[in-house]
Amino acid sequence: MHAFVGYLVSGLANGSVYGLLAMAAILVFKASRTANFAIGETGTFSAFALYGAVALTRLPYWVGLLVALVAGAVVALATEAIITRNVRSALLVLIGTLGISDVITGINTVLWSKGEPYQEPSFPQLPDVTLGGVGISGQYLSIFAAVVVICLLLYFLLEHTGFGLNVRAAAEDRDLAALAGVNVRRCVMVMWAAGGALAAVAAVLVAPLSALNVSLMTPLLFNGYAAGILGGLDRLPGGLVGGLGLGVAASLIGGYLSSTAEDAILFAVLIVLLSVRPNGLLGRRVVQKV
Amino acid sequence: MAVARRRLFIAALAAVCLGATACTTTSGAGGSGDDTVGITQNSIKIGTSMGLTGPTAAEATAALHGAQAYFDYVNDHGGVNGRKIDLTALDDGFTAAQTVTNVRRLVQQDNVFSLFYLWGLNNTVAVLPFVKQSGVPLIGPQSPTSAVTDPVIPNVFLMEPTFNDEAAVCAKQLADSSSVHKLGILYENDPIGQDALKGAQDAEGHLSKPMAAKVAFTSGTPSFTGQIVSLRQQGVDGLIIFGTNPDIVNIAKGISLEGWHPALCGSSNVFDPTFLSISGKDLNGLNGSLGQYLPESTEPGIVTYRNRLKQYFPNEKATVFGVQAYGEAQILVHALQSLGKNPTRAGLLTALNSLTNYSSDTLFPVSFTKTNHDGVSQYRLVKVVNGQPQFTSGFLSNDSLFGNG
Amino acid sequence: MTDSTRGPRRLPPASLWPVALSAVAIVVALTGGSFWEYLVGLVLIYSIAAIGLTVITGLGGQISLAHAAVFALGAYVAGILGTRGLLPFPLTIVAGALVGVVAAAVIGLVVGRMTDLAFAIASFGVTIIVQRIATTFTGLTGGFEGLNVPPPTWGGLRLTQASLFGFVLVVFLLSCVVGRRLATGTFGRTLRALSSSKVAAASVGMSGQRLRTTSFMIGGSYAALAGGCYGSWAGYLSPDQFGVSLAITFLSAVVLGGMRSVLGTVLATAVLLGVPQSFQGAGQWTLIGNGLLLVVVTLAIGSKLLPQPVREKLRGRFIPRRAPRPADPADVATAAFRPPASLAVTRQPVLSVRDLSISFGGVAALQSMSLEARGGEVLGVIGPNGAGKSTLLNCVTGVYRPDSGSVTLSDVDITGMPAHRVARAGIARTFQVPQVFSELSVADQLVVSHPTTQGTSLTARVLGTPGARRRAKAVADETRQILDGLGLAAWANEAVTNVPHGSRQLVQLARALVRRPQVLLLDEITAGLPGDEANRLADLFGYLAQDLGIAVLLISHDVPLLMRACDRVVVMDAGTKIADGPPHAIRGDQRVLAAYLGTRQATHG
Repeated sequence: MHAFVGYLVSGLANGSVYGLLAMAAILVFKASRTANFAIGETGTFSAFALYGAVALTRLPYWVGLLVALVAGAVVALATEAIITRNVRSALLVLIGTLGISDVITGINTVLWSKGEPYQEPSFPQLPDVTLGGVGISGQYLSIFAAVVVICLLLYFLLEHTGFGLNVRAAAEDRDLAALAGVNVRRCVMVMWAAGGALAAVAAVLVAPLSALNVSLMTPLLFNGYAAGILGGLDRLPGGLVGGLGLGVAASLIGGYLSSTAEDAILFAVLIVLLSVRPNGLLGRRVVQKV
Repeated sequence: MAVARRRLFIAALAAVCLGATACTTTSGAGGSGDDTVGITQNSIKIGTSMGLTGPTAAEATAALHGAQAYFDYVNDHGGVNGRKIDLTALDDGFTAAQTVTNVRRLVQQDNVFSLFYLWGLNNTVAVLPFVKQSGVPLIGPQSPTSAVTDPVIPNVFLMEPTFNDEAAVCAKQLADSSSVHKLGILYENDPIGQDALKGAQDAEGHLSKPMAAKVAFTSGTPSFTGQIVSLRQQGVDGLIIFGTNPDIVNIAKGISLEGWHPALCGSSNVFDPTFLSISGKDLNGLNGSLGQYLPESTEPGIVTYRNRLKQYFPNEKATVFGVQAYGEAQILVHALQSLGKNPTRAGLLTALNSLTNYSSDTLFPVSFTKTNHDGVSQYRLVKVVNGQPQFTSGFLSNDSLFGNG
Repeated sequence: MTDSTRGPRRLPPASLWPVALSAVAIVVALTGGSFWEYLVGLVLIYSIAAIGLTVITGLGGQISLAHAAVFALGAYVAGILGTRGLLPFPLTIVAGALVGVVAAAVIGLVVGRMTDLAFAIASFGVTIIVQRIATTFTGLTGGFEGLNVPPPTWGGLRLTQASLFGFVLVVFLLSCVVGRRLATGTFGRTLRALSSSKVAAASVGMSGQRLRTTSFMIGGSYAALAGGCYGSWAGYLSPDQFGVSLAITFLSAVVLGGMRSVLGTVLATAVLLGVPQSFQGAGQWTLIGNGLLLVVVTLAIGSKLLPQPVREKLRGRFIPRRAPRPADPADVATAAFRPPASLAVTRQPVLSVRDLSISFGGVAALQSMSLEARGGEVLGVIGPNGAGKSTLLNCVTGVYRPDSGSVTLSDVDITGMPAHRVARAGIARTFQVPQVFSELSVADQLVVSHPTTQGTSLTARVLGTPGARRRAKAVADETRQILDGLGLAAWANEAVTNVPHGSRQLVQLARALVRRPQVLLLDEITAGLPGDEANRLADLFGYLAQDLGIAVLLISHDVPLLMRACDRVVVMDAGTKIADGPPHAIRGDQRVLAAYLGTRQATHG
C-alpha cells in the first residue's frame, strides 16, 4: 500500500509534466493540424532564460519567470513563422521542427554547455506534505497545481470567451472562420505562443528538481507527445487525462512489472490502445467531409 | 534510343560488377601492422575521439583540456626525446557509431601511433573489435567497464576504476557498516547502470548483508518517489545509486524528503567540484571511492595540474575528468620517454606492461602486468561532508577490502 | 509534343546513375585506403535503408521512426546467426530481411488504424521496444555490452573486408535499381495518390490498408537487408546504435534527398555521414548546421520560396519540357465529349437503395431513403441544401456506413462495404469538392486508377516483364482515349494542381470513367464550370447512359441541367425521398416547390 502511494505520487508528478507538454502539443495541433517537435528544446531554452535572468542578473523570480514564458512564446512563434507558415505539408512541418529542435539544442549548447550543470531557481514552493506515509515534495504539488490550473484556465479561455470562440472556429475550419471575419492568423499565433509558454512552464518546474543542463527536456518530449495522442489531440482535457494516465501507468509498470522494460511495456500498451481508439481516449471520431 | 540506353546500362552494370570483383581481390591496405606509424622526425601522432558536442560536451571538453595541458607542457619543454606529442581529437557527439568511424579514421587515415583516452562507455566498447584487430595501442579509455580489461586485450590499457569495481566497493563499504542491514541498488537503465549492477551482484558473495532490491530508473524522470518508497518498504537501509549526475541529486532530495536516512554510495562522477558546488548540500553523507586526488585539494601534484591548466586553458575549471585525463597523459608520456629515440608500438606495450606503482601528479599509483591491464590497484573511500568531498580512508586495494571475504 | 501524345510514361528508362555512383564508390574505396573503404561502405549501407524509408515516408507519406527498429532486427538476426555459424553469410542476411519484412508488415497493419501523427509517436515506441528487447535478451544479443559479429564466412571461406564491400555494393546497386523502379513506376505514383487523398484513392478501388502494408514491407525489407550488412561491416552491434537518432538520420536523408528521389536520398546519406568527417573543427556549430540544413531543405521543397519548377524538380516530380501551359479545357474544347465506346457495360446494372438511414450525433441525415438507378438511364437527385444528397452518395460508396437499410448492385449486397471494395464492385464517383491526387499529373490520375494497373502484380511491374509492359501500354492507350474524349489531352502531362478549379471536375470524371464503371455517381459536377459546358455534359451523360449502358446518377442543384439531362428525377428533403418521376412531372410537384421555397411547415402539417 505504502509503495503503491509512492508510485501514484511519482506517476502524478511525472504525468503532470507530460500533461503540460501534451497541452502544448494540443494547442499547436488545434492551431495548425501538425506537431511541433521543437517544444522540448524550446522549454530547455526558456529554463536557461530564467536561470540567466534570476541567477546571473539577479532579477526577482517572477520577472525571471516572465522572461522564460516570453522566451518560450517567442521561440515557438519563430518556429511557426519559419516553418509552419511557409510549409503546407504536415509531414514536412514535423521534419522542419525537428531541424529547429537541433538548432535550439545547438544554441543552448553554445551558450550554456560550459559550466554545466546549473542550479535552476525554484518556483516559490508549496509546503511538502505527507500522504499515507509518503512524503510529497511541494515542488510536485506546484507542478500538479500548474497543470490543473492551466488546463482550467485554457478551458475557460477557449470555451467561454469571444476570443476562444474565434480560436475554436479557426481550429475547426480555417477558411470558414476567415470568411466569418475571424483573424485566423492571429488565432494561430496566439495558440503557438501559448504552446511555447506551456513548454517553458514545464521546463522551469522540472529543472529545479535535478540540475539544469542542455538535455533537460530531451527525454520528456516524446512522452509528452505520447500523452497528448493518448488523451486525444483535439481535446484540451485530453492533455491532462493522457499525461496523468501515462505517468501513472509508467510508474505502476515500473514498480510492479519490470523497472528495466518500463518504457517498452508502456509503448506496447500505448500502441494497442491507439489501434483500438485511434483518436485517443477523449478524442472524437472525426466524420470525413467530402 | 531506349534500346541503346538499355544496352549502355547493361554494359555499365557489367563494368561495375567487374570493378566490384576487382575490389574483392585487392585486399584493403590498412594503416595497421607498421610498428612505427605516426612517428616522424619531430612528432608522435596520437588520436582520440570524444563527445565534444552533445550531452557530455562540458565534461568531455574538460577532460580534453586536462590532457592537452599536460601535452602542451611537455611539448614546451623539449617534448618526448625531442618529439612533440601531436594529439588529434575528433568529435563523435557521444554516439558510438560515430566513434567507430572516427577511430577508423584516426588509425587508417590519419595514421596515429596510438589511441588515447576515448570518451564514453558504449563508445569504447564499440571500437574494441576494431582496436583488437588493428593492433593499435589504446591507452586509458575513459570507459570504466570491465569489458575493456576482462579478458585482457594486449593493446588496451585502462587507468580508471571501472563502474563495476566502484559498485563492488560501494556494496562492500555499505555492507561493512554496522548501521546497514539490507542493501539495495538503484541504477540507471543504461550501460553504466548495468555495469554497476553487475559489479554489485558479483560482490554479493563477499558481503555479510543481503542485497534486497535492484531497481532500474530512466534518466530525466521528474519524480523518483515510487522507487524510493518501494526500496524503503523492502527494508533497504544501505543504497547504491548509479546514474547521471542530475538524476542523482533528484534521488537524493527525494530520499531526504521521505525522512529516510539510508547509507548512500554512488559513482565517482558525483565528486566533481562543479556538480558538488550546486548540489553538494543535497548529497551530504554520500559515499564513494576514487582512484585520483581531489581536483580542488592542495596535493602538490594537483596544484601543479591546476597551474598548468591555468597556463594553457585559463577558462577551464579543475574537474575530476581533467584530473583523470591529465594523469593518463602523464603516464603515456612516461612510457613513451622510456622508449628512447626509436619508439615502436610493441615497445610502448612492453613499457606499459612493466609499469609498477607509477605515481603521476594526479592519479593514485598505476601498475600493469602482462595479465592485468586494469591499472588501478589502489583507491580511497570518499564521502560528501558539508557539500565537499573528503577522503575517509587511506589507500586500499581490492585485496585489502575483499581479500579475506 | 511527343509527350502529350505518348500520354503517361511507360516503364521508366534505365538510369545510369546507380551504376555511376557505384563506380565512384569503387574508385574511392580502392584509392582512398581502408578508412575510405569503410566510410563508403557505411554510406552504401545507410543508403539502402534510407531508400526503403523513401518508399514509406517519401511516397507513402507516413513518418516512421520504426525504421531504425527494423534495421536493428535485420542486424541482430543476421548477426546472431552469423556469430553462431548457423548459416552461410548471405543466408543470414536473407533471414534478417525476412524477419524485418514480417515485423514491418505488423507495423503497417497497426498504422492503418492510426492518424499520421499518432503513428509517428507509436513508431518511436516501436524503436524503444526493439531496443529494450536487445538489452533484455542478453544471452542472444549481448545486451548493453553488445555483440561482436565475426567476419562473415561463406562456404568455409572467410570473406575479407574487400569482398564484403563487393557484396554490399551489389546489394546497393540492386536496391537503387529496384527503388527507382518503385519510386517512378506506377506503384510509387499509387502511393503518392494514396497519401494525397485517402478518400479519392478508395473511390478508385485502392485499399489503403493493403498499400500501406505493402509499402512498409518493401521499406522494411530494405532496412533489414541494410541492417544485416551493417552488422558484418561494423563488426559490432549494440542497442544504443539503433535508437531514435538513427531513425532521425534516415528520415533526414529522405527529406534532404527531396522526399521522393532515390538518387537524392543516396546523395543526402553521403552528405549526412560525410559532414561530421569534413567539419570536425566546427565543434558545437555542427549541430546548428545540421538543424539549419534540415530547415532550409524543408522550406525549399515545402514552401513557395523557390520557383515552382525548381521545387518540383527537387521533389523528383516529372516535368515535361513544354513551354506554355494549355488553355483551360473548359474554354477551348468545342467538340462533343465522346469517351471511347470500349467503356460500354456488358450487362445493364441496377443499383438499388432500400430504406437507408444514418444519423450523426443524433441528427438524422438519411431516413428510410430508397431509390433505384438502372443502366441506360440518367437519374437526377435534387433537393435543398442539407437534404442528404451527398450523405446518400457517401453511404452508397462506402465512405459512411449506414445505420440501417441496404444497397445492392445488380443483386450483390454491397451495404457497409469499405469504399475501395464498393469501387471494385463497379461503382465510380466524383466529389463535390474535387478530390484529385494533387501529387500527380492529369494522366497519372487515370493510370493509377485503372483496374489493369491495379491488377498487375508489383513484381511484374518492377521487373518490367513483357506482360507488364503490354498492360502498361494498354492502360496508356485507354487513358489517352478518355482524356481525348473529354478534351483534356493537352493537359495529360500537366500537374493536376495546375488545372483550373472547374475543370478538375472533368479530371475527376475521366478518372471515374477509367474504372469502367457500371454505375457512375456524380456530385455537383457542373459546379465551377461555365454554362455552355453544362450543355455538353448533359449530352455526355446521355451518351454514357444510352450508348454505353452505364447507370448515371447525377446530384445537382442545377435545375435546367437536370431537366435536360435526366430521364428521371428523385427529389430529396430532410433525408428522405419526397418525389420520383420524369422531369416534367417533378417540375410541377407541389411538395418540391414547397421544399425549395422553404414552406416545408405548411405542407407537412
